[in-house]
Amino acid sequence: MTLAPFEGADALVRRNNISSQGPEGAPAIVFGHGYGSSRQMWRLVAPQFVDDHRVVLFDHVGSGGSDRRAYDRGKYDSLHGYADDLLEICHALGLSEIVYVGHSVGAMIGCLAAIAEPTLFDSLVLVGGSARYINDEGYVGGFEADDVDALLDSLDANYLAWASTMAPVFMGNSDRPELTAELLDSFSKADQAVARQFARVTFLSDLRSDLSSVSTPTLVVQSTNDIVAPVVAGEFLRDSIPGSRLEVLEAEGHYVHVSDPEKLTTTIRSFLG
Amino acid sequence: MNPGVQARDLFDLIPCGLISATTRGVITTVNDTFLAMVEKKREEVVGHHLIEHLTPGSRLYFETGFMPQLKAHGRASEVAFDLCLSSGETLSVFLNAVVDRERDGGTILFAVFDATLRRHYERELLAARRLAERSETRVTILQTATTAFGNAGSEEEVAHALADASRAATDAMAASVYLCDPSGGFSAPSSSGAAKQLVEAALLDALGGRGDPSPTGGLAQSPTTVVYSGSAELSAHFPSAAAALRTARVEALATVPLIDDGALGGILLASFGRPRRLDPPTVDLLESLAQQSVLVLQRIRLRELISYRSLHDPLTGLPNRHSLQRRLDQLLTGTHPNQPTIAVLFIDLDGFKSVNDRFGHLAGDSVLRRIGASLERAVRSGDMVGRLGGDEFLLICEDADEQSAGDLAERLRATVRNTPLEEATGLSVSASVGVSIYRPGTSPEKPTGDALIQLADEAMYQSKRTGKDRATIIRA
Repeated sequence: MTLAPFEGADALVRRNNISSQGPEGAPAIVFGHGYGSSRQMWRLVAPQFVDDHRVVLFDHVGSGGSDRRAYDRGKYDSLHGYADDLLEICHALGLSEIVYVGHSVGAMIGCLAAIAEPTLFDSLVLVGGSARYINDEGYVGGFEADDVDALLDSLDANYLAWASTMAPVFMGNSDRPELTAELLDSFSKADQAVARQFARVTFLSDLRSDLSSVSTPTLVVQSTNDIVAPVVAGEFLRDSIPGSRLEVLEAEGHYVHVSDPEKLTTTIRSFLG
Repeated sequence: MNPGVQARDLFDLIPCGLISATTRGVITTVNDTFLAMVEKKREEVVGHHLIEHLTPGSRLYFETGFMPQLKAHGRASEVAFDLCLSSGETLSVFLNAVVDRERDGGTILFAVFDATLRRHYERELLAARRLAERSETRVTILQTATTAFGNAGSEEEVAHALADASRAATDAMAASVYLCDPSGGFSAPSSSGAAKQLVEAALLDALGGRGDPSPTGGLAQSPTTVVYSGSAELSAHFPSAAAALRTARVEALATVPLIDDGALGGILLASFGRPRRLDPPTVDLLESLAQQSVLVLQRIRLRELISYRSLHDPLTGLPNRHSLQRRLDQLLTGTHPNQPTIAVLFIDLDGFKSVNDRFGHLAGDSVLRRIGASLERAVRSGDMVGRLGGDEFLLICEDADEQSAGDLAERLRATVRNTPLEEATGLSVSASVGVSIYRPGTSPEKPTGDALIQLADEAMYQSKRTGKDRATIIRA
């Protein structure tokens, strides 16, 4: 594993908790996680590509093991901030002809990055993506604006449950057992604020008018039983992204990369040819 | 008694819902209490996803918050959800869950508690907490802004402080402040975040600028805060800027006018990378910040005006005696043997008294202004010309030897003589000039500024005595 062909790559590795595995010079495959998760979610899929790909995993700033100090509320108030980070990562690692596999909002971040720098990408795989979650005239996203408010309420209402779950994680990840409860509390409060904003950005963004600008060969993967991104959301992506294909997987839930990693891996591989 | 039946009774009668489900959330077993809770029959529940019984908002949280955590940590406690009942009502519950990885290739066991009363109470607490956090954030932003405004020493710094505070108040991708400048345009912006000046220029242009006096002139006519909350709204209002907006990835925009004494003093642009609405408290906060910045701008302008007036002659706008002396002192402070020569030229008008006597003081003032302006044009850049008072002017030159000082004196005499005196037709005004020259290192004592002026004054009297309209040079 080698990193840092560019100056500043080390800083990015810390900021986005980047890992890179696989043979040097092999085609690059980058996995981007979605809302509410981390690069860990790819643990069952990513290893399937390590033999013949340079596999890059990362956490969005504010998620997983990323550097929370890099979280700028203005920058990350839209998906463009995340897309800029993705492009920075690709450049810093010297990647080209990239296969980008994004889940959920991570898929949409990939679309924005590929629109901004089409030459960087070889192909896109959008897993459980949605151009817009809120229903609109003539458009089914699956949710109403009130539902997003309810999600934000749930985040707040479950703050305690969440903090008690996450506390051991913070402790476990920390080399500083002297961390006081107070410090922990401030960490979780900051994370709570990040989670709220990321939820807003994820569920209130609208990329419908951007999709026609995607010129990268694209595979849309939707699972049959996904309440977050229903099959119609996948059909909309297919119909809006020029030349894209839709693959509907008989799989359970929003996290097909966890619930059926073999099926997803096979689907990606057959698309890549 | 059959203990098996007893356990079965306990399972069904226990006052909490009990569910087992596959790792993907499909319900395999359910007790009577849960069926009663959701007002459904067993066949409507078993074989179905637990998520189907949740409200849409709870579904989102279940899939994106709860399940990932449950899978990562194996258990979750007291997680709040809302269930959909057959009646269309919702029921608030707490849910405990544990994953049993061994049983049937992985099973999730849930316990569900009716939490209606507690959730109601918690919602009130939550609303109160949000209100408190909101006030706290507002106070912090205002305090930070007040401190930054207090430290600002220039209009630009005030504009920067306003841009920073506005970005903090709205999480905007970028905030920029454009102040109105005296020429009728806008100053260069002070920005916070990744501002795109091209698109902002296009927007300002489309807003009609401030120079447009017509009643249709966008902002000039109705200076109120406007929020354009999405791309469609933005391109409808700014068709000419639509392409630039797209390139700059601006999907929503807020424009807040800086109202100074009823007129537009500037404009704040906050741009967003996704559809955004700003709620009334946020708009209110932006307007408070803008208003506060206007007060600070007024203070700074007043201070600048006072400072300007203390250094300038009100009649001609030229530097006054005080600033001339200060300049001379500055030049002399830095003097060392290799430093260039300093020349002081004292200019006293000949025949000016007759202008005042015959045409009055207004005409006299006008002549002084005219001559002041001519002198200013005639001197070299870097030299300072000012008015000492009455009909006396002074020129301070750095790096002028005897020869060039003499040339300058001749040029100034010609300038005065050639200045047209429309207000005093038939009269002519000339200048008697006295020059004092100091070459560093030539005398053991360094002269003071006052002494150099005094010396130039004496030289000027020499010129007067020997017939006026001439120059006399004295070496210090």
